[in-house]
Amino acid sequence: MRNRPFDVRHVPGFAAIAIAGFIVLYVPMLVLSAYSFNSGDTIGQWEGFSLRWYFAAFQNDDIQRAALLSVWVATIAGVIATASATAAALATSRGAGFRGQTLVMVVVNQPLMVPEIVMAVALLILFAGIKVATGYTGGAYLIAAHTAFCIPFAYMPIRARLDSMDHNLENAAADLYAGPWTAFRRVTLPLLWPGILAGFMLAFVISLDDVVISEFVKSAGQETLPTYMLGQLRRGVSADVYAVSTLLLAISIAIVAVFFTINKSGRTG
Amino acid sequence: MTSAAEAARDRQDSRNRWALASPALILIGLFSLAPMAVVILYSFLEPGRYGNVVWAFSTDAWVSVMLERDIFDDTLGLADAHVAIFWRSIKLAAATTLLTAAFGVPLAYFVATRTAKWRNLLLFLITVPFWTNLLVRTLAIQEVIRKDGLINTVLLKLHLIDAPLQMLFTDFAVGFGMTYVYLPLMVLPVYAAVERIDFRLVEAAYDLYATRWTCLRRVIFPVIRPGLVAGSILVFIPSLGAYVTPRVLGGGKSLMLGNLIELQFGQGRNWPLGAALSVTLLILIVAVLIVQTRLTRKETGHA
Amino acid sequence: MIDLHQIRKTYGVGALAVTALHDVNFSIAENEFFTLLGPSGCGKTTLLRVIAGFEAPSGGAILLDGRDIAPLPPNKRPVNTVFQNYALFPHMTVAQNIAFGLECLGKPCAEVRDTVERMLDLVQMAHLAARRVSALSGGQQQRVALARALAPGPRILLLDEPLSALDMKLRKDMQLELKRLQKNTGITFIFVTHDQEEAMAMSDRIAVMSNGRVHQIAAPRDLYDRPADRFVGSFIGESNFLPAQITAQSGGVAQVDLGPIGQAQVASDLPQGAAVSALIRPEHIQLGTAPGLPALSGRVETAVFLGTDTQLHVVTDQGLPIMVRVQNGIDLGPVPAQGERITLSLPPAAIRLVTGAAA
Repeated sequence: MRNRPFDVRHVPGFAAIAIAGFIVLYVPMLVLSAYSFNSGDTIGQWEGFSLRWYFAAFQNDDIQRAALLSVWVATIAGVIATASATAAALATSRGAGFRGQTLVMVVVNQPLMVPEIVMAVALLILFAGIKVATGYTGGAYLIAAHTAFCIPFAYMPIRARLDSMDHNLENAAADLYAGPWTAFRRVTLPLLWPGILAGFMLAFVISLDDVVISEFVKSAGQETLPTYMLGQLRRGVSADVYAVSTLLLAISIAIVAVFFTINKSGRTG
Repeated sequence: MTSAAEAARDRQDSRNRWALASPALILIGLFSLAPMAVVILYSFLEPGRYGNVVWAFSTDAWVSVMLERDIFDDTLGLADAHVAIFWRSIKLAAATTLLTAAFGVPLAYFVATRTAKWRNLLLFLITVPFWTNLLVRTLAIQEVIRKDGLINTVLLKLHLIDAPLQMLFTDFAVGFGMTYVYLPLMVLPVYAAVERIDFRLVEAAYDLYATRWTCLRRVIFPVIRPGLVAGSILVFIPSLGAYVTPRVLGGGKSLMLGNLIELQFGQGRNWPLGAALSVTLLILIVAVLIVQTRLTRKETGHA
Repeated sequence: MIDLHQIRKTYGVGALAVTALHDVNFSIAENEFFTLLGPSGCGKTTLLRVIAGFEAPSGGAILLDGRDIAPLPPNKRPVNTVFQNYALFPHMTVAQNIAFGLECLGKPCAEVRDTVERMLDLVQMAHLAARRVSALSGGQQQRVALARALAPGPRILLLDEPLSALDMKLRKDMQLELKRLQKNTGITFIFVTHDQEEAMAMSDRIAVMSNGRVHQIAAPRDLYDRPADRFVGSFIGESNFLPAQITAQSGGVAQVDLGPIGQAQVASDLPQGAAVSALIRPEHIQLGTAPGLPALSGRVETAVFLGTDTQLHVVTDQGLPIMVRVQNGIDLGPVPAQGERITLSLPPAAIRLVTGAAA
């Protein structure tokens, strides 16, 4: 038998740690998903395959309402955040730079620097005042809060895409008699599109995942899916929460798959 | 020394850019910067009896961040409970950062050095948890470490233990849980760094009689380092302010700063103290960021 | 047709200001192949971008058919550009790329179609019209870029080092093709390159630039034979520079003291006492002595065989390094070898006085 060829990339032990890492990363999620298909009432004991907890979750009005609010907030916040992040990315990339560019970038990224809990109590204080003053207790608070912290996430892929784009393409459009709007619509936007889509998906997922800020900002009686689940945990875990968790996991996998495909097509384009 | 046309073009360009940036600036200004200002303001007010505040200037909240007044003789002493929570938060955040680095670097290196096909699949597997709800992942950890969970079952079956271990509601649970949920935040930036390694340099090092260890230390590690620093920041900041993971896995026993802050707005009904604790957390994080920029600047200065 | 008048470009302000273009002036005629030649960083690309409108000049005017176009944005100027990296729109097909300018001008559909077809034929790309540009080879992309820029029928075509990404063989072919295209279309070309051979092969006139200044504008032959200054002399072709002093000047003939080499009479308008050096091309130096010619003796340090020629690096007895090119041939006799002592003679007609002292 031949010796294994010398590989300069090989570091002893790294492969073992990495494989262990992947196992640790996935076993808990797989166990959780498995129990969501359990036909028994108690979580710890496997009694056979069934979809009863999924039916239970779908028929649960609270879960339905919470899921609807979550998707609603994530969609609106995602759209607004992506639109304003796209504009901000266009403003801060390319060209010679302008007075105040650093300030704009610091402000746009500011929500990333603040721990969620701090942002949450800050918004609680601010919105408590507004709620008392206006009497309005609807979903706009959630949307406003989510929009703000989603902007930097939407900004990142859009900005990266812009930076990797050849600035001469816009010059070429202008050179070929395209006005600024035509150049944007026919050249910049189609090329930026994968970045914008990635930005929106990131913003959407970040909004959908948020627990802490929603928990503090929501008005009485309002629940997003994560705050509903957190509330349920207080009373001990029930298997329908596992079913919801498994669905959320499946959605994440689907979104990442789409994200990877966009990225791949974007690279060759 | 600029012509009118040039100046006009610059002015127009600058106006356009500000106009484009304004929606994002306004939204963040209203719903992120303004609330921060309000928090600072509230930390200097007196608490109201049923939550909220009384509009009177006071530094009591700031005093009680670390100190407490003795009930009997009215002297100030260290607030043991607060100090313990601060210490636990910093300890757990540091442990989480170290553990994610210990697992994350080999993981990222392993993924980055696979062939293109494997690399994409493994990168996908790393990215999925990053995009998965934090609560779901915390729940998954709770599932495997509870009394009759997977870990205890396996250990009992292997006769390594006689009775199930109590892991839930301990510092271990919180540290393990945070390592689990924040691991992707470490792997992704380190992966980006490993991807930049030019392995011809490693070949050159071996060619110049370097040992594996020398290669790792003097050729590979310096390239990974910026990614490691970025990953550490990405892990340390949310760990220090973690709220969900300690709440679910730590129960009421292993509180962290985030939970202490939350308490002031719930049962504690001391909004100014909650505000002051929030600002303290923010200051801690700014301090870490400053140290980080110092470190990276020094590094680029040497290069 | 196009006149550049005192074009200046500075970046930054105050003490940090960098001047990229110093008061550039020139005029280009209708149907001319005009080349901006210079080393990288000499300002040639900046000048092209100023003409295209991607950058505003800090001063000066650009008169196109008598109208100042300097204040106009690029989309209002009847000039089109072939970019160095081609800048083809990656999300469009070949035909869509070529049609882009015509569509932006609001041409009717039928005309757009006809012109695109004509352009595809012109650059021999008709068979790839529906192809995505990312699926094309470098040479094919180059042709599409050319067709795209020519399609709207510009008054002037600007080409920014368009051949630099191609390999040697393809580059030579494209040089000829570009020249043919320019003559067939009758459009004025302004071509930017750092490659002197490319410039020589294609241009009607060449402007040699360095450090943001134009040193000389002349036809290729004149540039080689009569460089205006030391920079042009050294940048175009190989050259020897010898220390020289003008001792007398009368009616276009200068009496020159060439130090160890002796005296010579050289056609030059430069005044007595000017800081000059004497330029002589390696191929103009003759081996052996000839009656009436200043001569030098020295030793061959290295002899490099280059196919048609042999390049000799000679050090004269006075310590002066001189490069000589000797033609190789069957009946031209043996070429001096390394270490051999030889005598060189310099025909005064081959000596050209240029400003700038010899180093």
